[in-house]
Amino acid sequence: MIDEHQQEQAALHALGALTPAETAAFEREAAANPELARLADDLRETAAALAHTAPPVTPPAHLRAAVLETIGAPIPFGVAPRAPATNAHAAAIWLQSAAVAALLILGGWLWTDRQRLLHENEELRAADTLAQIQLRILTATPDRTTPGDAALLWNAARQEGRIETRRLPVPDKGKSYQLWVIDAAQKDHPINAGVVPIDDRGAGELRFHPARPSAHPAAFAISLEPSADPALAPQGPVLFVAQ
Amino acid sequence: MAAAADGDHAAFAKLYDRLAGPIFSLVLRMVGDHAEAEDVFQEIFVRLWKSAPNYDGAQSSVFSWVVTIARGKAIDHLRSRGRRRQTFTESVDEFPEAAAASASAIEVTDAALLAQHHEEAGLVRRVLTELPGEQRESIELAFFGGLSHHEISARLQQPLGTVKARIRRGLLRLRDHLPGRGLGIRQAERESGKEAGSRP
Repeated sequence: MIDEHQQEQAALHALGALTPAETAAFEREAAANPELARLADDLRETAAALAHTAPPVTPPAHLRAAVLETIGAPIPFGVAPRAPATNAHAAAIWLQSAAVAALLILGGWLWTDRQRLLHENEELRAADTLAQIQLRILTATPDRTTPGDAALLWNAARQEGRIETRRLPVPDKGKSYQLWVIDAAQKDHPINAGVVPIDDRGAGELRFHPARPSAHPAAFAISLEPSADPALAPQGPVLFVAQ
Repeated sequence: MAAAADGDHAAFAKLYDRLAGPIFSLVLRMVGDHAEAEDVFQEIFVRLWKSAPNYDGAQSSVFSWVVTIARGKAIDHLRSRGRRRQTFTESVDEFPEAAAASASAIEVTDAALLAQHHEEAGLVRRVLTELPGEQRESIELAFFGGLSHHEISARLQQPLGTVKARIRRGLLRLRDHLPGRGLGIRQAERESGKEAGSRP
């Protein structure tokens, strides 16, 4: 018979939420208690399934070649692994390919009005160099797991952007979604980019200019704020973020 | 898995193709930075190659074994850089850009397996969202945030006993609503007779 305390320990163990000492004690106990060991196995499998709830992202193709090269596997002709990514290196690569990737990412973005967004992207591209335009997909923060999708286009040269949302929960009365730009040089002072209007289906659209210029936006975020008191700084919970 | 453990590169490449998507997604969600996720991801698969002989199929599915290794690496990484999601700025800094890598694709030929993964992912998400919010929150902070129950208690400003009870109830409920152990990959292993990855 397994009591609630043992169930708790098994659940925490499955999630890796025990301290090292607690882990060792639990594993000793489970080794001597087959029923507890079975429960621990079951909960570990259950916990592993949570990995499926992470937003699906396809790993870059070069990683496969890099891994196989590292372990000494023969690499097929024409597949060139890249060096392991360093932050600066990867960031540089990302910056160089961001605009091109934007179009490719957009291809997978299953919005009903994605053609309209593409068209706008094309317009922006025509007006500026390709590298000045970025597409950012905002994702629900893990603490909140707010349903819905949001994506924005950012034109650094013009210091303007446009965000679109769909299927966001309609905010409670007196609350609204507020967009923020987090500049790399002033991360502690998010820049207000306006309130994102949401219709009764959670769809919204906002063309925005941040309240202050942002030379290097490190991220964009949506928080839930009181409507009647436009926030100068985020007060409410952050619901969506894109770096 | 057994073939990979015996040093078969082609078998390991197949394993990579099966696991790369969900593992990269997991790592990216945990570490929140695409470049860092790539580094951690590579370390994970190299570690899998080296540790494959230690895998015991009698104790866990391949998927859960890999997830355990992946989470361990990701948590080590988070701790080494000393960043945790506690403030607005940190939250923003660490959050994954989920679509950043969608432009490139791995070569996955097993469409049926992919479809199965999508189906499973939908099921797990659905069951997870059916949990009471406070249970889901505690479980996600532990699983994706790599927080201990003490840290979750402090983070949520809830008594330790409350946090433990939420996690216990939530995880038991998840277990009861998710059919079978291991989900998907383990099932695929069984069907294809590959579960004999247990090492002597």
